[in-house]
Amino acid sequence: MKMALPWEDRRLGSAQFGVVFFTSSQRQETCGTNGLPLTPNSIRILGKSQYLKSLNHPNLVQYVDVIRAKHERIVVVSEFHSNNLRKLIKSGQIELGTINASSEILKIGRQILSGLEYLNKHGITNRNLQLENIMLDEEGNVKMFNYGLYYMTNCGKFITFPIGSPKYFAPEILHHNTKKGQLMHYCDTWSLGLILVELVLGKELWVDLKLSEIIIKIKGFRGSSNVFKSILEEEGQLDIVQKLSPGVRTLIEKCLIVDPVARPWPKQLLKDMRIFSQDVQVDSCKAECDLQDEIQLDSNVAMDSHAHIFRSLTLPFTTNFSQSCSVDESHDNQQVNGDDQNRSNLQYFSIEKSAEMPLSTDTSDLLKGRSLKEVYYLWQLAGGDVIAELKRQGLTRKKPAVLSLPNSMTLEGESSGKSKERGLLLDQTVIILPLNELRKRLNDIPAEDYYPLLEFPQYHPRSENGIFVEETSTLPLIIREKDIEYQFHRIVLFDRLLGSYPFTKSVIYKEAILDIPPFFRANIWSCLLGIDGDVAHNYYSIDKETPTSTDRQIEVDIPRCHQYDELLSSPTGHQKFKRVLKAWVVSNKEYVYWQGLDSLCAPFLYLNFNNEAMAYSCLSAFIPKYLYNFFLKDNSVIIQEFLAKFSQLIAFHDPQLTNHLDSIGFIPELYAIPWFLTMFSHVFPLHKIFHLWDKLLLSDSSFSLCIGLSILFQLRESLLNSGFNECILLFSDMPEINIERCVKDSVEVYCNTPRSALCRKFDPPCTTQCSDLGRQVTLYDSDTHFRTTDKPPLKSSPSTDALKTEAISLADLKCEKCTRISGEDFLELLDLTRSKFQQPKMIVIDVRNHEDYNRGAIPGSINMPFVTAFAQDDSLISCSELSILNANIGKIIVVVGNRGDSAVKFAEKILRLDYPKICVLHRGIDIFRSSDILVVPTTV
Amino acid sequence: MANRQSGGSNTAGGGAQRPNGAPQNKICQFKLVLLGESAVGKSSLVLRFVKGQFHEYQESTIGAAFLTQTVMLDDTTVKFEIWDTAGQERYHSLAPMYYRGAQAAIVVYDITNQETFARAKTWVKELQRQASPNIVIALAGNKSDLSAKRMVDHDEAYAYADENGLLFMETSAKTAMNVTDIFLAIGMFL
Ligand SMILES: Nc1nc2c(ncn2[C@@H]2O[C@H](COP(=O)(O)OP(=O)(O)OP(=O)(O)O)[C@@H](O)[C@H]2O)c(=O)[nH]1
Ligand SMILES: [Mg+2]
Repeated sequence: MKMALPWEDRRLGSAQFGVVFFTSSQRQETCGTNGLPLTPNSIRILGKSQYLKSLNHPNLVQYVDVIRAKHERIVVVSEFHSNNLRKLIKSGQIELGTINASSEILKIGRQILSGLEYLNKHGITNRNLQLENIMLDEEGNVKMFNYGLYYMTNCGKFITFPIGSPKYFAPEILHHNTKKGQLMHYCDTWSLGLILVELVLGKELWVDLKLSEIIIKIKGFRGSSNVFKSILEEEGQLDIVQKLSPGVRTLIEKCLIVDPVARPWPKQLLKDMRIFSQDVQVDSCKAECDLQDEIQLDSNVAMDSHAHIFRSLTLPFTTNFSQSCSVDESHDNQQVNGDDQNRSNLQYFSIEKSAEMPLSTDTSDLLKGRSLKEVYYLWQLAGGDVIAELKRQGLTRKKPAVLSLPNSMTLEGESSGKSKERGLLLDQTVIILPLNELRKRLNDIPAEDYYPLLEFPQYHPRSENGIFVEETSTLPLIIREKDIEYQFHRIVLFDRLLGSYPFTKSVIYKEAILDIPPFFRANIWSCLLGIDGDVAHNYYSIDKETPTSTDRQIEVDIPRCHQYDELLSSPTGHQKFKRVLKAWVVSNKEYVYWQGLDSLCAPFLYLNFNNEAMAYSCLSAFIPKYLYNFFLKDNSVIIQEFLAKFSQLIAFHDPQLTNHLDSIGFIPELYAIPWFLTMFSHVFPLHKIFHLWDKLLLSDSSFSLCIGLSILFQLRESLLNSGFNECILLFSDMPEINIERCVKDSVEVYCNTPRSALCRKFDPPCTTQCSDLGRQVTLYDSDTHFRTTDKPPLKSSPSTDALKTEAISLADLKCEKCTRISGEDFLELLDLTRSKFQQPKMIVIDVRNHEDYNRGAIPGSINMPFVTAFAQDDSLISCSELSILNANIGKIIVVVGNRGDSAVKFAEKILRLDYPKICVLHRGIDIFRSSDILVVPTTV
Repeated sequence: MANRQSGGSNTAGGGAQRPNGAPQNKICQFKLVLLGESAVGKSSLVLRFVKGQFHEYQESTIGAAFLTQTVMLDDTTVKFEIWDTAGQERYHSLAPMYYRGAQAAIVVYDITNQETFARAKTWVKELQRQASPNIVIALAGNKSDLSAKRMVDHDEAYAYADENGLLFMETSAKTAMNVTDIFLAIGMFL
């Protein structure tokens, strides 16, 4: 039996996308106490509303997007169903007074309560219950709509209009008996009661009354001991009570208890056996039957594919309900302020999702099986634009009604006619987003592409998915990211891969080398970082509240960190930022907060805005891998080594630049610390960091050195033509960098640098014996490059440790301009198995004296003794060996000497002569003494 | 990591990059460093002086940033080479690399925060001990636009500056008050 899993995002099914919008209030003051402008309410709403997107309950519509538009408008996109309780009542489908009606009403009541209980558990009061907002899906199940308005506007504080229809207001709201910030879940219970009365009566109450009359009526209930009865009496329908099941009656009576203290919360009502006991039995019986149906349906998949997908997705509700009566209460307290506990855990189950292909080839229906969020994302790629849609439907031109409203509603005084009353309310217009364009764009995608068959581990999607996708994958990234068909295939693919993580780890890795679809970036990054275990539990057990000495620094840094981004600049963003940073500092006692940690945190927080625990876990996994020991209290040796390696890398690839920068004293210490300490997150905007880190996460920390070099490449001309001041000015404000080129160059540099040349003493311990996927999966496919799969060791190679990559002391490192190469890498380059016709990959200069050389040397090496090679003016003295060297420029030049420092000196001297790709054989020729590699050179 | 500053500053001071001023003008070049606790507004002051701008969300400084500004003082062209340093205490070890060889320093504190004033005092002490002996030190009480939240008394700071032979001004990078003035005052002094 395949079921929608609780963590799975809601599918489109028969839903549509509905858009509502409203205007947030202007703040009265313009400046905060710090003299800086206050965050606009629209941004505060934007920050707060993000949480709603993470909610997932069968009786709540799914929030999909919240957009901040011009004039402080907030535009909310969510799941939408065209049927609702008001329509149901209007249609007269509720047969008055039958048992059937009772159980139907009870079902609706219970589903609303179930949704409310879920909201309450997550610290949310609905406050916007009314007939239109209780939508019904195709199967007649409740989907509450617009339930997040009160929450996202901070209990209505960020807007000028009242939320909800006053008709459904509980008496205490009208009496202003509620304290600010108080949880008011019992207000929803009242509203529910009134809605149920309307269902029972089969009509809307008080339609002819003016607002002021309604208010007087509600206030009048104060003295009533049984409001339900009072209403029925008024309506002349007292006898209806007899026709109702006792459950319905009890439920309504309890909902309409006037005293808010005595009125039960949704949770309490759900547990009330007097209301639900029999019905639950009836219902669960029914659920069982449904289940049976379901199973049968399942075996007849072909019958109706669409119905199948849809049904199997709605099923969890019936099964969920019985559980939801006994939800554990332990969460309740934390849930009120903490978020996302439920969903922050990466899922590791390998579950075979319903992959069988329906026989129907009508692809427009296949879209229904995709998640709402995904369909919305694709809709945007297909040219969809919510704001433009609002304009097209003529809604943004209208002066927003709320602007003309008074700041607070004086309920008593409002009695001057209907038109004004309507103006008081929030504009309830819902715009439906048309999906035809999207369907048209996806028309050509064959049905089987929706259900890729993955046969791990030999899955090769690119050859299976047709020529189109393959072609697109070679286009520039920016174009690929905008290409709807391409993204569709990538999303479908990663959807399956992520669902089976960690078994699919290597495939995810491999696919990520091609590119990472932005839609799944957060999840893919988490996989690449190997996030594991109970992320949420770990995070919530960390003390993020107790003040520490780092707090001030964190507090002054956050308002300066990537604040151009609306989410990160929102108060919600700041709170999350602070908690994640504090959690990291508290849990890493050996490390300290260095300014810049905030920038590092930003990309993770942005991507996991609704999942702090995951943001924290990513940060925690990222730092040891890429910034090992950078956050030690005394990190100077770490940084110095990193920068020294950087200098050597520049020298290896660009001697001319090195020589120029050396001559003006422009050292990396002056500009590159913020680059490496924050892995460029302090110097680039988020969208650039994403593309940079997409590749960084596939690699190790030395990749960042390559990124640094590619940045220099892009500014090379300016640097070469500038003096010290201009150079440093250039970096004070990071100039525009083409990030795609930068990424490409970095990979190139990485692949064309011997691994040992990037080795550092203070590397994280894991990378030296790196069992990481990077080595096995052919990080960057290309056989001419270094990063290829591990080769079997050469037979002739001496198996001593001497060949191993080994970092040198910091003092030595700082003195040496050219990098060293390990014996291992050297042998790989030497490639003794190479055929005669293949060009050697390097040129070896032996700088020992002639006698030593003639006694035994590396095959193919040329002898240029250090003592005699250079003329007075430091140029190389012309000789046949020099001609050979010059004929081989572009290849790696390995300078080989004895134990002394002549090789190092020789290398530096030819570096000054602008020879590229110079390195020095680590430990000199001695390492080959015991092998059969050395030969006696034949005299020419 | 402060092993080699002299190279940097020497070359920087070298004649190669000097703009060719009109012949009758004298050209002076100063190396100036800004020090002070984090978030007191060092980068904001420099930005105001150099570009006439103010960013509410001025990014924090990691390591140091470098900017230059040229102004005319009477018949002299004065070129400021400004090193804006990171304020966090942890970056302290980097500071000598920047103030060594500097002819002037502006030590900044935030008038709404007493601790930043204390920190400024320790900077002054350190400069008096470690920097070149004839370095000109100015004390800037920044964020003077927030006088409603003032925690550091103007007269107290003035007295302290007087005692220690420092130039003193209260500045606001936000309103631009006294910003150019404090740089020019240093220029005049030199
Ligand atoms: N009201 C007001 N705010 C200011 C003023 N100067 C700076 N700020 C604000 O104070 C905050 C910190 O300013 P920065 O210039 O980044 O401080 P900094 O001293 O360079 O800080 P670090 O780089 O961390 O050492 C920013 O949000 C500025 O907008 C001012 O004169 N008045
Ligand atoms: Mg700064």
